[in-house]
Amino acid sequence: MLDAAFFDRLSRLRLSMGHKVSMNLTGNRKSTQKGSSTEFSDFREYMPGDDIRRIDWNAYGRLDRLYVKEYMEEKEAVVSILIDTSASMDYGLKKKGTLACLLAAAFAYMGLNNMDRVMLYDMQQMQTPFVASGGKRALPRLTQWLEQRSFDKTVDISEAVRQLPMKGPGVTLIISDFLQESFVESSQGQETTRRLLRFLEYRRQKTAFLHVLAGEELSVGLSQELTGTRNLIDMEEKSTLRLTLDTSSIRAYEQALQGFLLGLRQECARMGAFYAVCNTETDIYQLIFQELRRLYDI
Amino acid sequence: MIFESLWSLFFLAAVPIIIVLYLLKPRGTDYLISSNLLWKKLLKNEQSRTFFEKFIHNILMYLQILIIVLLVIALMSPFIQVNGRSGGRKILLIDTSASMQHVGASGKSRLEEAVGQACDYVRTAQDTRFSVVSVDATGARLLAVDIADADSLVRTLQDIECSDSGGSLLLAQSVLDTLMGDTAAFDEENAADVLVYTDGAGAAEFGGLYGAAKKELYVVGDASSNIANEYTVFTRREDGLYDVMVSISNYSDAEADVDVSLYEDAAYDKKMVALVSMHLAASESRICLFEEID
Repeated sequence: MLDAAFFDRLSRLRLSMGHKVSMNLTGNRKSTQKGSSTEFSDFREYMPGDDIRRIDWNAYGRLDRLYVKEYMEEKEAVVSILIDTSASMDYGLKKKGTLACLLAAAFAYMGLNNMDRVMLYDMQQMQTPFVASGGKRALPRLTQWLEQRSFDKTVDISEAVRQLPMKGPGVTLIISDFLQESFVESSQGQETTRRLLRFLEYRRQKTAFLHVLAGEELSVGLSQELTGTRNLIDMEEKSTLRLTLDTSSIRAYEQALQGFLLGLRQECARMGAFYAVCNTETDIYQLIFQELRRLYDI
Repeated sequence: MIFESLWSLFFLAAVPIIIVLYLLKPRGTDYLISSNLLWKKLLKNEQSRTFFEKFIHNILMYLQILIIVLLVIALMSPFIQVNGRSGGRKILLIDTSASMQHVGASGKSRLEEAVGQACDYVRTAQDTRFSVVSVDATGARLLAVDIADADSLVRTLQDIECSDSGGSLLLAQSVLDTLMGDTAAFDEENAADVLVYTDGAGAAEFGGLYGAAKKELYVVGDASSNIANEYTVFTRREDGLYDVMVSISNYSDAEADVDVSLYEDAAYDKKMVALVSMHLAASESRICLFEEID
């Protein structure tokens, strides 16, 4: 599905970051620190102990005082990608989990290509992330790690985010269907989202919610199977809900879904986070290069 | 509205059964979904509805109940009683003249149609005593007097046969006078209404009947088709040929065209030997003469 041409186009993109990095290893992002890159930053007066190679002799000739040149230190950014591996992600004719892995692979490649440190997290195993470093060479291992993901059980997104290690400013991508009671409940959902985004803001993370939903979930009205009396079996909790479905109930579901999406979108907009619905029926090219283009700064 | 039978009301018991069936939840088929969190809102809406609110939008149930009610009403054989049909005395005067033998487009003779109409009248009337009188050329025959039993009246009516002769309704006047009672001292409660069942020929004489009570006329058959061959006579001439004279009368109250055909004896080839077309005005009689017939 992801061919060479796709990765070639990806290599021209870079994930945008709201903050300047300061304490990571050398990379490709502007930082607040002075260093040894080629990008000039400032002059300052010579102090004993400074490297005499940095003295600007031309300035000394003009002003008879010693000045040293300072350069911008370029640091790497930490791109954290959290993948929801709950059972609900295994739903759909085109699985939501598959799209989540594709998105993770694409953004990880984007990070690696820009000398960022990419951390991939399985929300069920936050303690053992996949750390991708060393540029594009890490891609095969990364792909292998993604292929090993299995979608089962349940996941607590808030709890998973709180377990993110403190790594300084960076980008955090949460790839999930957010089908969790604390998010779906209209009153509680917005509060949960707000708290989560505040926490990530505090951690100086540029946050993006990639809301992965199956085509069947987004357009239930088109499904002829969902009419009459149905025992709706939850993939995660295995609980059964018996409902007699007709056009009015489908309409009510769609209203509830739209309310859920709108709540998340509004809260993300309020907190300055990126939010996008990723439909499994949408072509991956269109998704990455058009619908998610606001995530990139190149 | 009157219902002939009430036993079908038993089927109304199906109405609460239908309602109960709609209250029961069907078993349903399993359907795997990612999460039923969004669907739970629907369940809350469904549970929050009151007992009666559950039926508000259930058009199918209303239709089923309506169909059952309509079927029950149909099985009860409802009919609407026309004003004036109940109570009192009625005289059914049936014309049994030969013209009543005429078979119309419906395949029934005029007498059969008249008897059918009279039977329907008897069946739908309540608390009414009926007298039945038939009339033909020989005079009036009293078949029933003040009988209220509908079944025996229907049998009497169905036993009436047509005569082969003409007749006049006026011949029944004396019988009607007897049955209607004293017209001088008119007693409204016991006065008998006269219902006359006749064809076009008799209809013309309806006005001649007199009595203190009401008269109703029921004409069966098409009046214009009431043409009669009054008589046919012939004389043998000296040369061995025949002169034939036919008298044709139009008893209807409308103009009529008629073809008079003369055939050889049926024992031979039924060969038509003469044909005359005639146009008769209402109540007109004409002679048709066939001369020198071989």
